[in-house]
Amino acid sequence: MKAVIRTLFLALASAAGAARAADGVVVIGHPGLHQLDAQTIAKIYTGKVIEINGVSVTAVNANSGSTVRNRFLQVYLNQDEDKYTAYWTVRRYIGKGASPRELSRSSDVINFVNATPGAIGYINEADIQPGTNVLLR
Amino acid sequence: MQNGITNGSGTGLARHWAGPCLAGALVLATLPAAALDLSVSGFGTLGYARSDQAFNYQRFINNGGTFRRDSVAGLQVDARFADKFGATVQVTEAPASDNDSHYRGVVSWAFLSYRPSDDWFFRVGKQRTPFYLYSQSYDVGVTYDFARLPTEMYSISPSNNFNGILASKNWSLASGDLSLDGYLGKSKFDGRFWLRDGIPGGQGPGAAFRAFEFKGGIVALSYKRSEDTYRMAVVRGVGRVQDGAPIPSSYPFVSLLPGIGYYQVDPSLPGPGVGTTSAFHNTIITLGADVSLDSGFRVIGEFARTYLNQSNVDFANASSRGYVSLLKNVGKWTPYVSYAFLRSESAQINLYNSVNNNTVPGFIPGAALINASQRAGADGMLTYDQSSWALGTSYSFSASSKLKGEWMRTRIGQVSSLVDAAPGSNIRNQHINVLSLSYNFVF
Repeated sequence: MKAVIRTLFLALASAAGAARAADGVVVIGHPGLHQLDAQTIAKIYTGKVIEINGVSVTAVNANSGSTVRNRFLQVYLNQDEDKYTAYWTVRRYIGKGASPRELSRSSDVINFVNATPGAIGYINEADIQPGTNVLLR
Repeated sequence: MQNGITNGSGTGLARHWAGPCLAGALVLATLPAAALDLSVSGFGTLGYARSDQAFNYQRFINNGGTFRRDSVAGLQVDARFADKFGATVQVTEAPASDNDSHYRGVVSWAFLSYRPSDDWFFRVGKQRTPFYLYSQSYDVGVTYDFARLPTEMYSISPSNNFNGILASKNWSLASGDLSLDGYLGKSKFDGRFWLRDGIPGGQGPGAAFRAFEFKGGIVALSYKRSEDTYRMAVVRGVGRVQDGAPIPSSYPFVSLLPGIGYYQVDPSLPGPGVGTTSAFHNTIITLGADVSLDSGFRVIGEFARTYLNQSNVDFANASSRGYVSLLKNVGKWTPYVSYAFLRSESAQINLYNSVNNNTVPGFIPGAALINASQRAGADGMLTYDQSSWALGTSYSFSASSKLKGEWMRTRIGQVSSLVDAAPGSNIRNQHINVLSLSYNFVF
């Protein structure tokens, strides 16, 4: 019975993972950054992690209200826009910094990430360009 | 009446903003030209409050209604540069702390920060301490659901601003984040005294202000798990009058006839001399928790105990205070009910009553002056005995704006220095109903 439950659980977990990939949001990084797990991504976008393997991280967001941003927040942070904005509002006004800067287009995110050491962003999977360093998909 | 106490007066518009702008410019001028990120934001609260009493409560609230108690506006600039360094400047416009007539711009934040790793964080400059759960974002109404943070709790110090250094260490645990913050520095603030009657030929009736400074340290331990926050803070320090004048600390009783006498509340009265101290040595302990429950319910509570580490001081605001609130999130609405209390130590309340109620018969030479001085002396003691129930709600238009409304019923027990009693009166065993409405926003 336990084996059945375990198999069922693994199947559900696998399906959830497939659903995440189907959301079509990929996390990209500056060349040289290694792959990251979802938990680390969440900590970066909530300001709790500022460096990876000794490299300072600079995260960028898509514009507030954009589809890709909403999907990213839902999949990687399990939050909606209001909750995420409220989180950073508190953080800003207790003196712990501002939320990641926003870039409006996928091409802007890619250009910024490629040009800025330690930069991390996210884009639609369809917007990936040859040579883009995908950290998590 | 008391050395260093002055009636408040206003300033011109140029002077009004000169200090904050200069301080902000100085901090920003320290930034390298190649600052990576510069972020400007702002916040504000337009708040109206009205009570059912003619006298003022919490400086401004009476039956005429006021926008002055809760309205505030602020602007903040955050800069991040050289990866691990940053700077923040925040200026706020709110009723002045040294007079009741004017608004004043002040620098609430002006600090440089350094975060060498995920877990270490340092700041130097003017900042706010996590003394209470909401002390750092006190002016930003969007960050909490209460129409007004419970005054019983949040009036320990007129200001949470602190000039000094902060070292913060964070531990990421499997269940949440534990952080330890240590502050060292000083703060300057204005104490407000309400003199009901004044002294004939001396200090007039009304609000009087005295500039204080506090030097010391704060240690705050916080644990955050998902939506929950638990915090304990300990403050130890020394408070003085900024001009170095001695602070009245005890009133000796001068006996004139059997059963007749007066408390020497001022050096000008005959007697052995008013007891004074050069400084107050305080320890304050605060406990707070913000805990999410099932079905959208949330409990928030804080408690503080103020200790005086001196045996020769009879009154120095040693007190117990706190509140507990139950909130329920229903979509965009968050209704809540709160109970808050504030009570000075019994010995201080008893002394207040003794001084306040003391009179000498009219045949005693100078009886009118002596009797007036007794009430003025009592007014200088800052004594509290009050509690409040509040029923309110916030309505969240978005993460950037909230509308809040609240009905609060405060019971004044034996006395409260948060009340501006009318000349000749005592406000005791009385209720104050306060309706509050505010619009809060950030941008």
